Amino acid sequence: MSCLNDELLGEVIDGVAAAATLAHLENCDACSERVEAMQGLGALLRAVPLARERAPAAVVGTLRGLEAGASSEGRRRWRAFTGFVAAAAAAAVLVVSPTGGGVPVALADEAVSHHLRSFANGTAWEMESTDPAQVASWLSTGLGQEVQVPTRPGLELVGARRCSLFGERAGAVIYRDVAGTAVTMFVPAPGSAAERACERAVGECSQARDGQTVCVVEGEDGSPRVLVGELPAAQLCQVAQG
Amino acid sequence: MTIERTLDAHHFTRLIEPHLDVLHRLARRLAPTRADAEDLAQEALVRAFEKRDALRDPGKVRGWVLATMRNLHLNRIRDEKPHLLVLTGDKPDEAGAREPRGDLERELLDRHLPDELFLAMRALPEEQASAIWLREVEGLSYEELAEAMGTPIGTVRSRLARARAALLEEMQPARCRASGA
Repeated sequence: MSCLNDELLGEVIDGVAAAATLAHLENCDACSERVEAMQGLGALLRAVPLARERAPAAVVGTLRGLEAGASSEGRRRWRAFTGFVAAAAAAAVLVVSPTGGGVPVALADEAVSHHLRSFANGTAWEMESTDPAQVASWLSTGLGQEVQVPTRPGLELVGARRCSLFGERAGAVIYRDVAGTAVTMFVPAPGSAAERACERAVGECSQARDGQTVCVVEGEDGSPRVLVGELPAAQLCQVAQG
Repeated sequence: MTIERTLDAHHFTRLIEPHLDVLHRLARRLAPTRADAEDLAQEALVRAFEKRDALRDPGKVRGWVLATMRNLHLNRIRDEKPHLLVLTGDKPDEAGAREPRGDLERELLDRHLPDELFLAMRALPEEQASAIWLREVEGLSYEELAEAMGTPIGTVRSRLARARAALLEEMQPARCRASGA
């Protein structure tokens, strides 16, 4: 009598064996021993300390943040908890551009994703300061390029972080409006794909899904900036243009 | 133009929440360090949240979110080491050329296993190690494994069989040579 292959014997372990397989085991000591050995393997694996580990608070918090950002009720809780907004309603952006203009979809998608994920992951800003000169200095040093950090009526400066857009370095300046809503202003690197994507979109604002709005404006130094926030398009456009 | 979501955020989080521990543990097996695992699991949650409309059957959410994370992990490896890693292939000799994982924390964790099993798990191709882990420790069904691994059920069966055979090979001399059913 030939022994059964490991796939069939594994089905015994996994509780999905056919009647013929079980019948074979009744008469084959070798196969029965191999099944027992396989069962022992499973027991050893389940005894590893990792098998009892629980998800860390950061992972649980990410899910909470995503949920909070997607509902107004949750968003209020999130604001109350952090003292800041985590507009983490992550979703692919859908640009409303009935005339074919507006912010390029790929650029808007990239900017919104980075904006939302940074809050969901708790990495929205690396340095915290309300001083534009201090933030500009930190960002300029980090990016290796001169960056000007503007003040905008209705927006309070929070801080900045280094990030990437389309895999190339970029800066992100974080603001909040009077209601606590977060606005990220991305600073694409000169010559980067993000900057090129901005070329034909300066002055454009596009409404995104879940209330996210993306605007491309010209910075003080003439290079483009991309603003993202969970604000009505008219409002973000207004503050974007100063 | 608008696209309506079929799965609202609250419903989505209620579906995912019971599986966070499984997600975390697989991340720990896939990522070289605890910090990398945390980052991987968080990124996977964000990705899953973003594409939650694609989850057509809520009953398959566990396999679906695990697949999201595993694909993310494999893409990262591919991007980082495009010429050094073989990402697919069920035969050990096809996927055997693996990068060493120099993570002391992970090694200490795995050292709780008997040495032979530890070495055998390290030598397994990722798809076999993940399959045996998700089946034996997390109790995924063949259907869930197929969803999580993105393969047909037949491939799941063969991966499990190969993983078990390889592990047994290290744990004890084979006493039974298969010759087919």
